[in-house]
Amino acid sequence: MNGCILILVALGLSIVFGLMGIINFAHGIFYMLGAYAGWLTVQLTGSFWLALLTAPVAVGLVGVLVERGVLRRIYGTRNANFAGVLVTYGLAIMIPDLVRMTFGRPGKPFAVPESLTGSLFRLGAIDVHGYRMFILLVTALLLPSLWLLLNRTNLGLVIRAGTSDNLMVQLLGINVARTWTITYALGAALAALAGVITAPLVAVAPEMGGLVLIECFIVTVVGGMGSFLGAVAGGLIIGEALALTGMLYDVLADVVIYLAMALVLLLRPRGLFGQEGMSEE
Amino acid sequence: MSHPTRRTVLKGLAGLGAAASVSGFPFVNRLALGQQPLKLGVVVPQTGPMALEAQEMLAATQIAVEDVNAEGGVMGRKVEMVVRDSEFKPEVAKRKATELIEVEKAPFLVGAIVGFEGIAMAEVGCKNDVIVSFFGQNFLTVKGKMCKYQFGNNLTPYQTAAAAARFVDAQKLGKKWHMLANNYSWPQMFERAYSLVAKQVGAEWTGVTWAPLGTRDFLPFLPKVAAAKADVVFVTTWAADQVACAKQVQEFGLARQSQVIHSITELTFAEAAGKGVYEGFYSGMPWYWHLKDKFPAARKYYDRHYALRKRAPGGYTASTYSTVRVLLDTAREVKSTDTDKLTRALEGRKFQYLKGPEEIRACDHVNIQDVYLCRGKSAAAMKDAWDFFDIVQAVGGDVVAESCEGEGFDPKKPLSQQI
Repeated sequence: MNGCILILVALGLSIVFGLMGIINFAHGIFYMLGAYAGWLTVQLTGSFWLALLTAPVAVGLVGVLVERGVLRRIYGTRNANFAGVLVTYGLAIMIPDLVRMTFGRPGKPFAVPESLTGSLFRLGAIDVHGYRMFILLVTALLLPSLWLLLNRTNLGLVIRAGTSDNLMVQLLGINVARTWTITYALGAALAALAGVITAPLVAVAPEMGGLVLIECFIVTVVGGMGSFLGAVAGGLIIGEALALTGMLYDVLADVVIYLAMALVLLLRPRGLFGQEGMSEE
Repeated sequence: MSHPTRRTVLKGLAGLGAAASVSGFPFVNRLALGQQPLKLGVVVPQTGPMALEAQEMLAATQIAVEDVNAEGGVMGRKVEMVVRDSEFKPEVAKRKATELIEVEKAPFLVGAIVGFEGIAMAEVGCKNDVIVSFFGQNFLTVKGKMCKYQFGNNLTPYQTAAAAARFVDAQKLGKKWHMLANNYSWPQMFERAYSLVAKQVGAEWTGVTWAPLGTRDFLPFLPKVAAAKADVVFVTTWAADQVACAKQVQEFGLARQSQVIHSITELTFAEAAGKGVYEGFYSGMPWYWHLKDKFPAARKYYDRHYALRKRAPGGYTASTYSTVRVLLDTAREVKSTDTDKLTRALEGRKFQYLKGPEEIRACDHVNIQDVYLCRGKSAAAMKDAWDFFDIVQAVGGDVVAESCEGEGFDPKKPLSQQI
């Protein structure tokens, strides 16, 4: 499960960094908001399936507001990268407190949908449950769709071109501002989807975004900042490292992801699939 | 008869004030102080991840202060809470505790939900010769780690673990034990207690499966727990980790093989997990709101807490109430807020507020009290939104507290005479 969640959250983080050059400390809050939006939908309608749709859409719109209302003001300013870090870090502190004030006590009950409870089959010592297979399935379906979006559509072409050379794309007369908004919203929606599908297995709480963000930064560093393939590979590596260490040598589980990151940085400082110079701009 | 001049009156008042300031006129002092409230310094994380737990504890503090004031206050002075936000940061907790002592002149401090806040507050209290009493678990009761002014009415990790272990033994739930826990200092204290009690009762201790703090996915850790083939698995996790762990332990089906016991839980965690998630698990608590049916004071407290917060109070709020009450009641009884005098009066003090009899053991300041082992109910069996558990057994007394010798103290001497 961890690998899937990390991939979904890290993908958004990586795409936003690749295109906009923003180290987005606010990304974890979209994951948290996704869980809350999902919880709210289930409370109002009783439908988990509807929550899968409403959470990414609602949080994607929040992403639009953040990009247009806050981030757009710092593009092109002096020290825009540094300002981006400060602004998104500020949002990461402020929004969980707003959620706390709005929704009251932390921890919102969120059950696994009835149709996905129970064991499907046994894999070694572990019963594989329907809900975990569902998370795998969602990730497996989403990744090729995203790949197609980024590689086979005009929007994807602009995003990829912007990731490679933002200035050149603007000089070609393409409305990059709109692409930035769409990209930021897409990243937020992906994180929200990860949030809503994780919610039945964890505690839905305002601080849940902070924890996942740290791991996702490690994923993007391991995989390479701004790389689609890197986010997928990094998510799988870090997710598996956590899972295997937990099974085989639990006392190392605390440090294994940091060791993995250190190892990758030593051998390949730009990350497994990162482009040279990407993180130095 | 000549009337006194304005100057004579002023001189007289000045002289009276000067005399009062050197305690020449105790009644004048009392008169003056009687109008000044006695400040109770409170440091809790009003912002950050424990903000709502802090609100619950502030409600409990408020109720305790109101009760004391209704009984005449302390030395004729009303008690006033002066609350500071630790922001869930040790350096801020330290700064705010210092401010309460130096600026607000609070004669004693209460608060701290988690360990690092407690350590920070204790450091300030010990340095300034001010009593500090914790709301969270009282985990510093070891020689070399505490000073004589530290108190805390909540459970110690040892008490919590030993109560769960004794409960297992009394209920004959099995002799092969294992623990699944987050890997940091607080659960490590439980490991020591469980392994010691296992030896005492002849149980087999199969060790611990450690999961990092902040674990989202416990599934990779559960096969190791299952492989231990333990009759009983103690789970020592807290807050979001406990909620995720409880959900995934149910999903994994560990309960089919082993009896799962949460070393300690709070009502808020069961609420966050959702109805039925704690079904069949036992959980330790310092207090549970069903005690309102047993103790009239607990009923009164429940009603007042409910009126303030619109929800049932959790176990930690009851410990908070007792922490504040015993401190203020003792100050009233000895008619002093002098730190040393109050410390001596608190050592060995017996009291009863919201549960069975309690006693602050003189040699280590551990509150000897009952721990309530409760069984999680199914969603269908719940009678209201907070009816997650039934109390099965109260386990308490000296038997579940670590001996003073074990902590490095002389059992025959009060702590204040040892350090």
